[in-house]
Amino acid sequence: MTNDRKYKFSWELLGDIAAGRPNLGNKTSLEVYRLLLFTFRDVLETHVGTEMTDKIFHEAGYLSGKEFYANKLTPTKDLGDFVRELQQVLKDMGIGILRLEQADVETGEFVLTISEDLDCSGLPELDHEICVYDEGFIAALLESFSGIKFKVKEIDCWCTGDRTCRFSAKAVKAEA
Amino acid sequence: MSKMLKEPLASVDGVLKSLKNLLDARAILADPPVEFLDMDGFVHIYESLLEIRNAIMATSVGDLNYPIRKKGYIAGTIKGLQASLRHLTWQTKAIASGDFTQRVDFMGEFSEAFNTMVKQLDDSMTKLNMREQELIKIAHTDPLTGINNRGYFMELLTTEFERARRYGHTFSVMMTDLDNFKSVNDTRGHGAGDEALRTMARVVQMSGLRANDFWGRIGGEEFAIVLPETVIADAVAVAERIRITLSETPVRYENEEFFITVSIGVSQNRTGDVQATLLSRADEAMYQAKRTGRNRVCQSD
Repeated sequence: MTNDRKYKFSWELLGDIAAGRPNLGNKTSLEVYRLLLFTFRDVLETHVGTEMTDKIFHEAGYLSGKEFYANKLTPTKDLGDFVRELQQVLKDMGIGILRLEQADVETGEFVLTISEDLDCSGLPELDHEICVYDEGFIAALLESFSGIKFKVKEIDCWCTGDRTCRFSAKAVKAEA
Repeated sequence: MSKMLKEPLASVDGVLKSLKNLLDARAILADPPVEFLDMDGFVHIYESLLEIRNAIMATSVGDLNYPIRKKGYIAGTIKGLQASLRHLTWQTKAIASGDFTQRVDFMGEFSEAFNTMVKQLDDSMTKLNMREQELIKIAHTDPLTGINNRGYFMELLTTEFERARRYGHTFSVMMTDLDNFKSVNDTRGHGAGDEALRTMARVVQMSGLRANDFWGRIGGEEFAIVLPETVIADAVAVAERIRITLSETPVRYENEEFFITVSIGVSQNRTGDVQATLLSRADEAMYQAKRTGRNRVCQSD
């Protein structure tokens, strides 16, 4: 990758919303967010195929999670503090309602659910999970918190008929 | 009615009965009835309802990990309930380990009750901890002078012995005894004697002891002072300062003033010492100070 990238992300690129939208403010319709997301996904798939589209969305989610942790959360080593603040921020920003179902810090195994999820709650039923962006986002949050890489897999999704999105996260063990 | 029409009706009746059975039967149910295995879609519905039935049963008796593989509205709703209850379990464990900041906001009326309980638990634990600290302080403190009592002083001395032994450090001990204390009690009353003891405590407190130095009232009119990392010559200088300050400090009791003095013995730890031998040498030096005229400092050989 060369240094002359046009779209390299930085938090500042999100802009000064208060200055830029004095009347409309920091709110928009969720339909618009999903319109953006799903049209991106559609066009990407036609260009690079399904597998690569999922990979791109996963990577974008991961980048988003890294930036989100750095800019919106307080660094901590305490799992309780981390979960509590994350729950609050996700709720305040209308991203979703987080619940931690299982947390084994020793083995690095977590199960968590996001209800009323920004990406998929209320979508029509499909025959596959679609929250690959969320998988990357959660993997980056857990990695930023713990310093350990995580593999995150969506195991239940609104789009497969479930009423919540459930994710399993496992620490990626370093090769011996 | 023709035979051809009766047979499908019999099948529908049987299907309805077996599905009703899934809703109502108390018996443990397993596989779908064999006579309907070939019926299009029946097995899927039967197995879905059976798994939902089993999942609800498991959840109702507290098994929050029952695996629900089926998809769909009811299965998804139960998964949502599982998620909430498992999150509550995690929160409760966090509370059990002392995190009283946990709050619930997704379980309606239960959330309010839960949050009230955690807050009350937090308040109770705070009060209990404060009370425990008060009791520890009471257990360690001499009520008359407010300084360490004999028991706690000896605990601190044991720790200092271990520390000095581990690191090969030197420390010194002073044994002090107020002069003619019995006479103060006899002539001025026990209230005056108590005030004399409190004056001695204040003088030691104001004598510039360091943060690591410690002391206590170990007998009627006896105080012991330990100076870590201090050789005997320096300890004698501190003892002299205390002796002189006390002799110049009036004891005020019932609108009268009088003066008291103290005899002090100083010793330094030696290889092979235990608490008793070290204190005994300091005691012996203190008695030497008494024997040689009181209001003076002597050190052990």
